[in-house]
Amino acid sequence: MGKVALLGLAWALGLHAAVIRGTVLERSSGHPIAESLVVAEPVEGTHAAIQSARSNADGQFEFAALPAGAYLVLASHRGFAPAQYGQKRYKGSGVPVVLEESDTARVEIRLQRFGSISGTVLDENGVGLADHEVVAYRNSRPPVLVAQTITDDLGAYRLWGLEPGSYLVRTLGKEYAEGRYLPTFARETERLEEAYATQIELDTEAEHVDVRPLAGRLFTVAGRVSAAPQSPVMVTLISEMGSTMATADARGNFQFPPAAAGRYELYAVQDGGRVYRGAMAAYLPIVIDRDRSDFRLNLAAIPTLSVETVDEKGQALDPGGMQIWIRRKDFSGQGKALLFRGPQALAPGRWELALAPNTQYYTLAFSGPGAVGGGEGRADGWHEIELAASATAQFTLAPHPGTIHGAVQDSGKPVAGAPVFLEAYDVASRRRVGELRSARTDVHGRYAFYGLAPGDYRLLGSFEFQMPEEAEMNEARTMVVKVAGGQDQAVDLDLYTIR
Amino acid sequence: MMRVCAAAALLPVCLQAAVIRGVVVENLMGRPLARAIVVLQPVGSTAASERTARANGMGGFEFESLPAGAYILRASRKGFMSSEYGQKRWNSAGTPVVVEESETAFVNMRLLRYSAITGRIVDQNDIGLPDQEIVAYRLRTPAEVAVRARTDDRGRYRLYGLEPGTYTVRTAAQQYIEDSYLPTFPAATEKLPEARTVDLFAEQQADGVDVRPVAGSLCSIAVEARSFPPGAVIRLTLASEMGRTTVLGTAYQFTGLAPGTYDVYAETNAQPGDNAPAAYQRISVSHDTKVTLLAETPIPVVIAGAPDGDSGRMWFRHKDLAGTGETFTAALVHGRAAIPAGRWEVMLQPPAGYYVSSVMGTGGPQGRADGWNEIVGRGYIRFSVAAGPGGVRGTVRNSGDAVAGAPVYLEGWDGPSRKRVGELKTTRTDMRGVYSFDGLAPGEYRVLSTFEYSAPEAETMGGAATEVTVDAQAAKTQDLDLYVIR
Repeated sequence: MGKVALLGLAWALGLHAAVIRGTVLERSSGHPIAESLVVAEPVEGTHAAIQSARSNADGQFEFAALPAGAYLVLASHRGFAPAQYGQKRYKGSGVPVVLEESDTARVEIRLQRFGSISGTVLDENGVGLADHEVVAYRNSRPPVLVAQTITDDLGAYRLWGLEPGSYLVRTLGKEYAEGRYLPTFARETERLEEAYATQIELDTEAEHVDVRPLAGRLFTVAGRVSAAPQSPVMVTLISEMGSTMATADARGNFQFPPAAAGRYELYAVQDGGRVYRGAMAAYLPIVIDRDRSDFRLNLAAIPTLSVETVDEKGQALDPGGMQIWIRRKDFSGQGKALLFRGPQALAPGRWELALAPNTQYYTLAFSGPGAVGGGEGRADGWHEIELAASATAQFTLAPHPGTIHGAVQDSGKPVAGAPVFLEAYDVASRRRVGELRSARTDVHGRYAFYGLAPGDYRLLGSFEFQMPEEAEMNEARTMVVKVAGGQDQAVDLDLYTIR
Repeated sequence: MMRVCAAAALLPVCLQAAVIRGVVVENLMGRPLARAIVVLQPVGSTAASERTARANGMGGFEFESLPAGAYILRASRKGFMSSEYGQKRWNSAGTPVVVEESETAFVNMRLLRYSAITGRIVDQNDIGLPDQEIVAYRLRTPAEVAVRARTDDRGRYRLYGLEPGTYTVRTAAQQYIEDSYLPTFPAATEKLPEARTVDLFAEQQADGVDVRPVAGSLCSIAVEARSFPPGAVIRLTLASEMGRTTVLGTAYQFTGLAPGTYDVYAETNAQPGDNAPAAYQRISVSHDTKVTLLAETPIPVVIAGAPDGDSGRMWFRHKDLAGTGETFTAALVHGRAAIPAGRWEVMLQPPAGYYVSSVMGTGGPQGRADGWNEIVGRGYIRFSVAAGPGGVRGTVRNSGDAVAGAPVYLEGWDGPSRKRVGELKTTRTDMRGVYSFDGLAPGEYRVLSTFEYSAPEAETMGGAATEVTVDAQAAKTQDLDLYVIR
């Protein structure tokens, strides 16, 4: 009797449950990876919760008792680039595993290491320089610092954990035991435009990226913070190549390590750099071309930024369901975007604002302190402001945004879980406007985007990318769609595949 | 007229001045070492002061206007072992450069690289473990941590800056999100006697010293300091064979620890010796453990027999599972001082004209009193000093000729325990080949003159040194033959 009941239970579970089984391996060696984290993420329309498992000592994992549907399988492990099942390249999207009831799918995920760059920092006689600081920048404008290390006793360095892409290697300008060196890019130039770019792929190491730092003149950067409060003042020196911090002493004097000539920005915030309403702060763009110890930073009350949303007649509008995003903008690039929640105390200087629309409104116009390009171009991207004193920025909203919906097909068949990318596009300047948006098709291959400002858009359905860059969108077969206010456009897409 | 005057003024200087010129190069490739630092030190009765120069871009340096005499030259650059001119091996002493009046000497100084150990730290499937800490142990008695490193993303490490010697490596206990590993020696053992060892020669890099850490459970020690004065800044220290970790605060949980024995301290941020309270415990842990450290009064130190107004100087350093720590000094006021409760080694430097004759205390200092004395925990220490120390002097000869600028080494020797007492003392002979050591406590010593070593260890002294018994209030004469390895 008991046996019959058990069998019945097994029957019920076995019949209806689909299973995904698989192995996680190191791609370069084929060795199994134990204890890696594997996640099964149901595609929209699949009625299941997200599940996770750990691979065993043989690298194997299993998701039992899954409802039928489509699932993305992702694996990650310390020291490796995370990967999705079916991913063609690092920045490609995973392909969902589609399961009927009581199906068993077998998948194999091969993880690759991030890329690395190695080389030696040498003096004029070819002798390695020990304890020199070496950094890697992503080769963008401005360059973004992504890795930092110190040479060993032989002057050798290795920068690792690098995503595929183009990188610049640079030694930091500093007074070392062996002398004063200018910040120097591989190979032997101070100038960003002349720097040697290194291409990095997963599982590879670019070797012999040697640098011979140029000996030369560094300049004193020092000054005083006026009206110094009791609490310590943190001063930040920012260039296109990153930032350095120093604390002003009790009399307000500050000094940075000697710096190379160039354009910089100086920020000072009291209380060790803590930003809050009532704190004191200062901002000063500067040029260093000689020793300077006369910089004066006049502390003033930290500005407060308010953001209003109004309709076309200037009447206040409740932005329910809308999100305002803000991020720092300085010579070293953009900061992390943060959600803006009501009037906020912000360090003086440059900021960028964007509004994420809802289904009822879109951004028609933007105005703010020191805003550039007001009235021109599209208003649905990021807007730069310069904050010196408390100010109010304003988004003008218009009702009835556009919508795009459709299906993604491959050889006439709908594709479940296919990534779809939507790029607001300025046809005249051939530039991307604002952030790329993405969605995945549901189990029937359908997608939709809401809250679109009128204008031109480029659409792409493809597993080739996770977040395609502008250049990649140019290369791919995109559909250009014109959206008008209040219109719902139906656009079916052919799945784009690089062969 | 002017010209004649100027020439006349220069003449005596030029004629009498000796010059030492030279170049600093790396040993392996002979490349010049630009901007190396060169220190010139006069030996014995040479009437000059110490000078420093920096090599130019071609590694060249020059010391001008030197009085005639003997000089030791020492060159250093980051990433290289510093070296004295004329050094035979990496650990030999340099030979002096002797210059006559108006002579120019040219010296070539070769700097050696330190040694290194490299390898991989891998899991059971040979997958590299990233960000794993590893230490190199110099295999002496006891083994001491020499340097530390961390693995890169592929589990590779490189431990560098090592002096030649015998080493092994050990991974630190490591807690990852999903699994944990015990401290492990190569290739895969928790026990030191089973560990693979590496003999490193100068400039050698030993590759392939791989470790497969043993998986196992780790534990934590939650430390709380109590009864300290309000507002005091407390330092909590955990010491083990893997080294010391210090944090600020009155409570802290040290996590990711292998089961085993640990020394825990709570000390105030005041300079040790400032009569500050402290607390200490040695504990064995096999699972998560809580320790409460109650502040204790310092260990009183009393010096007896010293003259009024000068009781000498006291040195002390932690001596625990992590080995010996940083050395502190404390002033003695009216023959008294205090050191925080804990595990220490204490040494007394007696006032001039006195020597340390005995030591007593709880925790049992043993043997000779004029070296480092180990004490544990709490109680008291009492040093006695007596007037009239002894000394040793003599002439160093090589085949009958006096040797100028020869290094002479002297160590206190405790025969019964066969151990060195205190620190090695070093001097150089003067231009007549004469050396002397003063201010010695009566007892056994071993003395050696040689260019072969720059700081010989007790084992090295054993085969070559001469034993001398020093008596109070007497200067013993002991001539020495220069020891040369042929």
